[in-house]
Amino acid sequence: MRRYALTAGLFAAALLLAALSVRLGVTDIDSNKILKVILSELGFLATEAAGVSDHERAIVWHIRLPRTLTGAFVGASLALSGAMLQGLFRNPMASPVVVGVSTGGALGATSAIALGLGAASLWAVPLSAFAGALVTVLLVSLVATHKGHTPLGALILCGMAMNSIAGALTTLVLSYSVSDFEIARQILFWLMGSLTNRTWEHVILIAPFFAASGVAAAFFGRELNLMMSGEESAMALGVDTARAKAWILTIAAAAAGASVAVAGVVGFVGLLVPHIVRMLAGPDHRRLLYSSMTAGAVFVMGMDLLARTLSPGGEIRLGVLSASIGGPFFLYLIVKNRARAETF
Amino acid sequence: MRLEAENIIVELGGREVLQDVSASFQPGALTGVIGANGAGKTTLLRALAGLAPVKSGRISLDGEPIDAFDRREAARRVGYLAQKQEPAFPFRVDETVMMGRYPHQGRLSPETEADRAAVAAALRDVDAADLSDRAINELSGGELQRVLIARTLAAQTPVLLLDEPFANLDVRHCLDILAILRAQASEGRTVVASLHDLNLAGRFCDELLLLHQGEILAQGEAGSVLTLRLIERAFGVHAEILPVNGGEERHFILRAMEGEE
Repeated sequence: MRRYALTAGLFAAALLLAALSVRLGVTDIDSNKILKVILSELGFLATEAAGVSDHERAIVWHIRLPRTLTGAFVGASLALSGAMLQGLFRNPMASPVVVGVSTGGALGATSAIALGLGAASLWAVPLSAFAGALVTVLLVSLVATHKGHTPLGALILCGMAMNSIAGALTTLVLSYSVSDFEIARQILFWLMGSLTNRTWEHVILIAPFFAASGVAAAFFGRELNLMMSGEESAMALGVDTARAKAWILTIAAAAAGASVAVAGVVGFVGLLVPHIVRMLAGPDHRRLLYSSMTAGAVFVMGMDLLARTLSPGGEIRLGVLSASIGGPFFLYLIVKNRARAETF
Repeated sequence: MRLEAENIIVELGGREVLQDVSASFQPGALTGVIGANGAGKTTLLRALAGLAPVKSGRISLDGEPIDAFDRREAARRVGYLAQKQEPAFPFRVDETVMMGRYPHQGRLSPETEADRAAVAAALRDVDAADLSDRAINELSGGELQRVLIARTLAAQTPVLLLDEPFANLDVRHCLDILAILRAQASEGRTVVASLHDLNLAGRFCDELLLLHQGEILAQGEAGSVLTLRLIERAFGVHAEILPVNGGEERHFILRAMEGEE
C-alpha cells in the first residue's frame, strides 16, 4: 500500500510543480489564459478565439513551458541515471559524475563555447556537451575493460582519472577564454547549470533520450536487482552480466549526457534523489527507477521555481541552489541514519 | 541430467588451478567434493556451472557442451550457490527467493503462479517459510544461508552445485540441508556439494571426489576415497578410523602430524 502511495504522491507532486512552474513568474498570467494558449498552440482552439495577447502567449509557450519541460526531463533523466549507476555499482556514492558524464559534457560544451560555435547554432553547445559526455564514458569503459571483462572497481577508478583530466582541460579552455569576457561569462554560466532561456530545441533534444531511457529502464529492473547480490551470483542466476552492464551504462550515460547537454552541470540530483527514494521505496529497482524519475522531476522543477522566485534576475543558478539545499539535506539524512550502518 | 567434465584445465592469474580434471556426475546421486583449502574445489564447481573460463577441455550436460547455452538457458539447467557471502540489501526473503526464478521469466512478464509455487516450495524445503516477510539484511548468517539455498532450489534445475553450503550453519540446520540435498538427489537431480566435514561427507554422499593441488586424487564411493593414506596425503593430517554403530559407520579422528615436514 505504502509503495503505491509513494508513486501516486510523487506523480501528483510532479504535476502540481509543473503547473506552478508555468503559472508563476514576473508577469502574472492567469490559469485560464495559460490553458487557452496551450490549447490554441496545440490546434484545439483558434488563435483568435483565445483572446490572449502575443506577449502573454510568448511567455507561456516560448519561455515557461519549454523551461518547465526541460527541467522535468533533466531531473528525471539525472535521477534515473544515478539510480541505475548506484544499483550497478552496488554503491550509494555512484552518480553520473562517477563515470565521467558530467565533466565530459562540461568539456564538450566549454570547448564549443570557446570556439564561438554557440553563436553559430542553438544546437552546437548541447550537441558538443552530449558528445563530450558519451565519448568520456566510452573512454572510461574502454580503458577499464580487459579481455572482455569490465570490473566495476576499475570502472570507478578510470572514471575518477578521466574526471580529473576533463576537469583540467575545461579549466585550461576557460583560462584561455578569460580575455573574452562574453565567452568566459557563457562558459561559467553553463558550468553552473541553468534552465534559463531554454527553448523548444532543448526540449526536443532531451525528450527522445528521456523517453527511450525510461522505456529501456523497465527492461533492466530485474537485472539490477540480481546484480546487487554480486556479479557471480547474478551470472549463476542467469543474468548475462557483461551485456547487462553495457546496456545499463549506455542508458545511464545517454540520459545524463542529454541532461548535461540541455541544462549544464546540475550536480547532486543524480546522487541525492535515488538515495532518498531508496530509503522510502526499498531496493527493488522495478519501483525504484520510476519513482526516482518522478522524484528527480519534482526536485529540479522545485529548485528551478525557487531559484527564479528568489532571484528573478537569474543570479541564483539552479546548479548552485540544488547543491546548497541538497547538500545539507543529504548530510542530515546521513547523520539521521548513521545508526543503521547500511543506508543503501 | 548427466554432468561431465573432460580433461578440463582452468587457469587463474597465470596459475593452473585445475589440471586435467575429468569427472562425471550422475542424476540421482549426491556427490561430495572434498579437499584441503586451495585444492581447487571452488574452481571446479564454478567451472561446472559454466562460470569459470576453461582453458581447455570440455564441460557438458547430457553430452551438450555447456558453453553452447546462453546464461539464461544454462541457469535453467544448472543451479549454483557460491560460497562467498553476498552483500545483503534490504530485499524481503520472498523477493530474494523469487530472484531464483529469473531464468524462467520473460523480460517484462509478471510473476506467474508457477513462480510463486516454486518459491513457496523452496522456502518450505529449507524450513524458512516463516521468514518470508523478513528483510534479508536482518537475518542471522544461518538464516541467510538457508534463504540463499532456497533461491537456488527455486530455479528447479536438474543440476545443483553448492559450494560449501554448510559454512554458516549450526549442526541441526547442517543436517537438515544435507537431508534436503539427499531428497533432491533421490528426485533424480544431479547434486554436487563441496564440504569440509569428512564424517558428514562419508555418511551422506553417494560418491566423493577428492581434490589435491588441482588434481583429482580419488573418486568413487566413500569407502574407497576416505582411506587413511589418501586423507594423510590430501590434508596433511593423521587420521584414525573408529567404527561406530557396530561397524556400520566409520568415524574419523584427525590429528596434526607431529615432527614431520
